Amino acid sequence: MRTGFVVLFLILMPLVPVVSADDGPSQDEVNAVASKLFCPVCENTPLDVCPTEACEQWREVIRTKLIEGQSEQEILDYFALMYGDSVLAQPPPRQLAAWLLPVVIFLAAVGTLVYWLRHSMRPVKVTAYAASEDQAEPVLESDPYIERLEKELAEWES
Amino acid sequence: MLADIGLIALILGLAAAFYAAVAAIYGSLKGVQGVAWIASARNALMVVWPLLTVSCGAMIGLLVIGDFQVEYVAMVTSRAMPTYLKVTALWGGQAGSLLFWSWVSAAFSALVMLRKWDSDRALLPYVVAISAITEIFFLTVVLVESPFAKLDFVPANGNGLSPLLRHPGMIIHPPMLYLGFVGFTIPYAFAMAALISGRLSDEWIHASRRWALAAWLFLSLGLVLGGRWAYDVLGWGGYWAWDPVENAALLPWLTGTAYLHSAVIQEKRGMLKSWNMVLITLTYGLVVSGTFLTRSGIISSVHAFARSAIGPMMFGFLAVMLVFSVYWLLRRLDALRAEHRLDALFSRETAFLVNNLLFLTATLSVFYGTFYPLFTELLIGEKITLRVGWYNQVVGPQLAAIVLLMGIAPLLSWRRASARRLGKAIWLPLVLSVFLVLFLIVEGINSVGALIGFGISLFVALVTLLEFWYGVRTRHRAKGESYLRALNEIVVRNRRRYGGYLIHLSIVLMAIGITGSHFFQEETQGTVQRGETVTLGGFTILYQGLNEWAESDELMISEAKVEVYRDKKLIATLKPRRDYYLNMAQAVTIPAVRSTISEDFYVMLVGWEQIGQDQATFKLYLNPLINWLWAGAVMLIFGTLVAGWPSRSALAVVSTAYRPGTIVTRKAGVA
Amino acid sequence: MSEAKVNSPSERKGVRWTTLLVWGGVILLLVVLGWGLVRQAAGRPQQKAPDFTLQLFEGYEYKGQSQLTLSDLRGQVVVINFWAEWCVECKREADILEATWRAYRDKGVVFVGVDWVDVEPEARKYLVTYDISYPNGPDLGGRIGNDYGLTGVPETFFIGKTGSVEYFKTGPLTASELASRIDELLAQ
Repeated sequence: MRTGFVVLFLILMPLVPVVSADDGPSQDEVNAVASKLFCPVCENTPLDVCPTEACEQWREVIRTKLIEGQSEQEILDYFALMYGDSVLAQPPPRQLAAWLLPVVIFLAAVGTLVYWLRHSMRPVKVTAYAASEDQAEPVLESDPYIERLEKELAEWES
Repeated sequence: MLADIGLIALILGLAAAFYAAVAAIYGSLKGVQGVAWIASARNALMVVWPLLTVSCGAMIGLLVIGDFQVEYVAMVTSRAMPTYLKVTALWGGQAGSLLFWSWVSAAFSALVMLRKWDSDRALLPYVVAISAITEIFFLTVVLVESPFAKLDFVPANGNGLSPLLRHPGMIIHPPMLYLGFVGFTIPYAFAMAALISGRLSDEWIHASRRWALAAWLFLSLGLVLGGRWAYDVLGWGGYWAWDPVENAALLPWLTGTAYLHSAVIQEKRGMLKSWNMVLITLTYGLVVSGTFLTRSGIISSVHAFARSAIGPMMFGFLAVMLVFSVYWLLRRLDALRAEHRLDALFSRETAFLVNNLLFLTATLSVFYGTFYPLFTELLIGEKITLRVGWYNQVVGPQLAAIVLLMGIAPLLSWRRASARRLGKAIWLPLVLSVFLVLFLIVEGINSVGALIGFGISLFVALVTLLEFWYGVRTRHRAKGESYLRALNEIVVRNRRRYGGYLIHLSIVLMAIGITGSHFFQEETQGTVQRGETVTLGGFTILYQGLNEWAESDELMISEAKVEVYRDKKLIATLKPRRDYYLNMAQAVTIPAVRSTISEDFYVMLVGWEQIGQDQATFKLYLNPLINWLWAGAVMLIFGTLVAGWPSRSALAVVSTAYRPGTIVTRKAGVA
Repeated sequence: MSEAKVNSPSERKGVRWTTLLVWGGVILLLVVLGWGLVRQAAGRPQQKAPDFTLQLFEGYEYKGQSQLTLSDLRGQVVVINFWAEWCVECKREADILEATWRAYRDKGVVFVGVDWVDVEPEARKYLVTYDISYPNGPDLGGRIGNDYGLTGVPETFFIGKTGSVEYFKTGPLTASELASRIDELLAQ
């Protein structure tokens, strides 16, 4: 039992300079919640690093709520209610549009690529040449009628 | 006096650009007789730069002297600012930065005029016209912002630059970015010239390849420098915040990188002709919309300039540019036919296409995220901003996939890759990477993102290094050269390929730095008395005391002294400080950092109240592997220089560039 | 120079779809960006004052009601003052606002204080310190400020009897400025 206390004391010793004289959540614990929030007023500054007086007050709010026993999620919800969803570092699931569109974009891009690949691999016949000078670029087209004609001609010839 | 000179030079520059545009268009319409007009237009465009140099020089003079009667000078400088900052104040405010942009743009235009135009002289009038019209737009905007406008009294002192800008980063970060942004105008001008003139062969891509590469390099550096600056002064150990203006600079970089890759396909296989046009137009369009976003204030940001009247003008330019480009793209779409088709799905061509797919997905995601507040306000009436969490989760994996692709694409052959050859080349890097991941898991790392990041990094590094090895070994065996000599030979003979590999290696280094610092950052905060300690990781700081003094009558500095210990040994003495600017009532905290190859130990003096002599609050950060990020960026410069360095034949061409008569002679009947 | 012709019907259809999609995308983008620009002019002079309903702080009710809707005040001159406890400049005009309110409250003028992005306990201390008596409430989620195009605090909006924004002031007001603006609007 006594050894246990001694061990506990020794473990807690290095923490003494960090935990300030007043009991309650340490600055790190407050920062842990604050780092998931953004300053409602400053531009794009996380709440744990924002140096203004207003941010200091908001960190105090977090500290007070931690002392009251509120969970991190409850504190985040409170800030979202008071200051809008923009203060959250991570948009909540209710922000469907935020999460849905990247998926849509990716699927659309894949669809375009697949379409292009298939289109690009169809057999082609050269049928005409562009008349612009300095270019002898063949115009490639895959007309199903001409393909069919060629096929039937080949069959007829053989 | 100086202000008047500056304004007159500015107006003359605008007049020259206007003449250049008109003459180039007229000359191109007149056919053969228009050749003299085109030559005249070219000369006029080249004259814009010296005129703007005079204008910028006048402004710099005013800034350094401190003529506060000029409104811009009063806004961005103050008496106590050091001279180097006064010079950089040229781009410290809206009007000056637009003047600087115009100067850079004129420089690029002049340089392009100096190149040898013999082989693609048909494109010249259009390149002149587009460059000139762009210049006209920006100079008009500058005149509307009137940088040389005078106040009707002379203030005793100016405001000075915003405190966050008073940093050596101000010297190089904006100029690099501007070089990158403006640089992309040239390939765009070439692409449009090809479209309008109907000369749809590959000459536009050949002609503009090195310009695109240079612009890409400048933009990459600008982005990295911005990150380094943020790391130095923002004080949260971060270097990228997904801020709208940062994103605005990233977007053209993403499409620009995609373009550099798909341009290779066009040159090698004659495919993707229309797509490359689209990509370069998109890149330039993103540059213009980026500058619109930054300067109009429609999206709020730390970087944004004050709201001003030029928002509508920039919007107009963007609209005209988009409509004009899309019109010509669609009109010539049919003629931009590929010379070849895809031979096999499993090929390097497909890998390049997937590369483009991933880059475009990332571009669209970042674009969507940046403009999300606008979309939500339009649709639901409430402005919602997406933050770091969203970007990291959405764009992070996309970028990781791109890095992974860097390790696979070089192993696929053109036209048709064989699974067997791929297997032979890939098994060793793959096995070693898996070993690394297992090793890391055993060592206690359980973050999936970090494991993927390190695993992919090692994989790509090994694949790329093996490419060098195979090349060297082949030459050594075939020619008997020493390994070192062989290495030199393969690089010199195939600069583009090996330069590209060097760039890939740099990206891997940066990826390692990003993975380490993102997933393993540690932090703590503590309030201590003099003589007390705060600990983080293996490091302990001992607070020694605080020094406060007035650096100038505008600046109060509070500097703390801490000793840093590790394993009971003193390893450094750091002095984090807080600079308080009295006239702006704003403070900047400058952290003190101890950097090594394995991590940065970062100490910041926090607190917005008066910091006491006996008590101070410190915030400590441990950023593992962060310096790999900056090292990778330095290697990137080297790799790009290798990739873009002109070969001997190209150099000979440039040296005979501007001689009278180089442009003119044309056979009758050939337009 | 001549252009190649598209021959097959399927390719012609492909090009037409591409054309439509691309133009559609460009126009959509330009419309959204343009709208963003126009939106910046919101809450500014000659525009109709954006309506809102303010939940009032306890003790700062208006006519016994714990919430206040702007459109209900049509016909009176309304002075909307955006403030925050952490705002240094706001403190400079706090006394002036309260004094002017007491002078004009029976003349058909309503003062409304909107506490923007603030911390409630601190805000209440502020109201007590400056002995504010006019209706005050928090701007939940910053929505009202957003509607008025607020760029910071303090900002004061003067709404005329017809319900449009007649003036707005960024920064602290002086007593004479405040009084003269109100007199102008009362005279309309």
